[in-house]
Amino acid sequence: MQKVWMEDSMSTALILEDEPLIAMDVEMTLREMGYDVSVLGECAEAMAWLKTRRPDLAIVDVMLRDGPCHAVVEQLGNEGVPFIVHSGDVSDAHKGTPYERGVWLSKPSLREHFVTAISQALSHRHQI
Amino acid sequence: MSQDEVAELRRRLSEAEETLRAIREGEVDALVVGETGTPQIFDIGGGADAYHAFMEVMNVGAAAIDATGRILYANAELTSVLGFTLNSVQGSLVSEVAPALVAEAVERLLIPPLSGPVSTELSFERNGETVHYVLAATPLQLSTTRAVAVTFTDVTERVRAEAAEQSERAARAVIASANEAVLVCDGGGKITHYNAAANALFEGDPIGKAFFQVVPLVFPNATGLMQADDIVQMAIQGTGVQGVEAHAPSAPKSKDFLMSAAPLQIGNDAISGCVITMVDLSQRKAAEKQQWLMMRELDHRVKNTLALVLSISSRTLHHEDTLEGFHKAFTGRIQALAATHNLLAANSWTNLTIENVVDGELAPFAGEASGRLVTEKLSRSLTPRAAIALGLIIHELATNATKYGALSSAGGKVTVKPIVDDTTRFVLEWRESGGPAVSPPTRKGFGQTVISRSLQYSETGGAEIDFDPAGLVCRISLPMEDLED
Repeated sequence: MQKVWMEDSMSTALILEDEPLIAMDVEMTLREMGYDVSVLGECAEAMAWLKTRRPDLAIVDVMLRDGPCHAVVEQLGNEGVPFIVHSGDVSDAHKGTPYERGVWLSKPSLREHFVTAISQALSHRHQI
Repeated sequence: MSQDEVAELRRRLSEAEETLRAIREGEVDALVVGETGTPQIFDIGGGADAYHAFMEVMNVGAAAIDATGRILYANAELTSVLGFTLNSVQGSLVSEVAPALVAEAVERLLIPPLSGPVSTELSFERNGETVHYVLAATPLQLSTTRAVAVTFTDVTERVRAEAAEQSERAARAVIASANEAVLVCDGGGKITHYNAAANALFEGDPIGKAFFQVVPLVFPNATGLMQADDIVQMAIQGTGVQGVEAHAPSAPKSKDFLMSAAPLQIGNDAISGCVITMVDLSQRKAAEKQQWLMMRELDHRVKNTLALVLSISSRTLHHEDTLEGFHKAFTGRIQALAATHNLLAANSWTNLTIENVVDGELAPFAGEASGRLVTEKLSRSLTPRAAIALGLIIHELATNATKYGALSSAGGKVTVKPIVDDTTRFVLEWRESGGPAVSPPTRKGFGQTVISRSLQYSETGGAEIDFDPAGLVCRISLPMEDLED
């Protein structure tokens, strides 16, 4: 299936977060920034979603409802999708995993840090 | 009396006279007198020297004792057995010269009067050490005196050998049944013994091989210079080592041990080797890892909760127009979150029922709404995740009911009960009645979002609000995977 490239239309963001209220807050913040947002709470859902679409930005929690999701993060990395790891874990605990390629944003995060992390992730993508 | 009878009496008389003469002149050593059934030997005195000589050559202690316990004769061996200092004990009572324990044993042998041989075993102290003897007594007729021959046979060596064997067996059993691996090395560092638990350290037969070759070890917490052989050699030279963490890469199962080595010293002998114990640390390591994982999980939960608080704060701020409104709504939501956490903590995060959660959230409203909150059949248990979400939902519903709904007027009432409870769905209904007429709100508040989305983390979870004019109705679907019995 042809993947849709959304460069010209509204940018899309994918949120992988299993805590609904946190997901909602992140979603609202991204909407306010002009993103079209999809929220998913499971790896399996995310894998299916990624088969047909490619987001411009992804915000991923490490532990989803069905566990940590290396495959999704690996695919994001391989496709050059800038992503932010939004987790209560510290980055040191994930050395040598696909999460290492993301911009790490520790929970709980302030809105300013969140915005900074997004611009970091996006500039990171342009460097590749 | 006939002629024959007189002749017979004369013959007997002369025989008796001849016997008496022979006894008087020392020609007879002993006399046999036929009593009914048991002929007895009467010693006549001349044989005493032969009897004494015989007793002296016996290599056991021997004595002749009369019925009153007086020593008629004791051989030289016996004086050394009993440690007598007297040159001669003849004529003394046993109780006067022998150690009390010996005297008592002899007396016990003499009562009742002996009719045949008897024996007993005896232990007593001599020159500061315990010695063991077998005492045997046999009736003896000396001259006209009834006496007892008592012999003392030294069995100390045999008893000691048995005791040593027993204690060696016990020592082996202790080592064999120890849960920890125990290995014994000789002075050259070669393994001489090992127990069953030590089989966890190596494969094959380790006897005769050096410990460090059989069980190659590395010491993660020590400087790289330390070797297993050094520890063994130090122990053999007299310096033990206790509790060194060691890693055994080639061990078949567990790899982590706490090693100790102690000098092996038997009695007062020189050190003859060393004893090595290896305590399996794998369980302790697993427990440490478990604790580390729990700490990480706790850290994760705390941060998630803080993130949740921040999200609630930012979304509440977004929807409230005044600082006062924000403060009231925000603290109410944080208290709702805290109420469920209190319940979870009190129940060790298990077996919290729907009723616990609903009651916990309604408690702040119960004062003004006494008797107007009715809950039914809420005994199902639910997971912490669902409990936290349900707590927030109930809080938003109660807050709304107090502001605009059934709890805002005197006659209003709220009923909470399950309306669907089967294998695929569990739906809890919040139904308000008797309050002011309900109309849908003009703008969607954050509370409404909390209600509809908090349980949407699962396909079977969620909630929908029906703004029925007769009273607000909310149907809350609890995720099936988060419900317990």
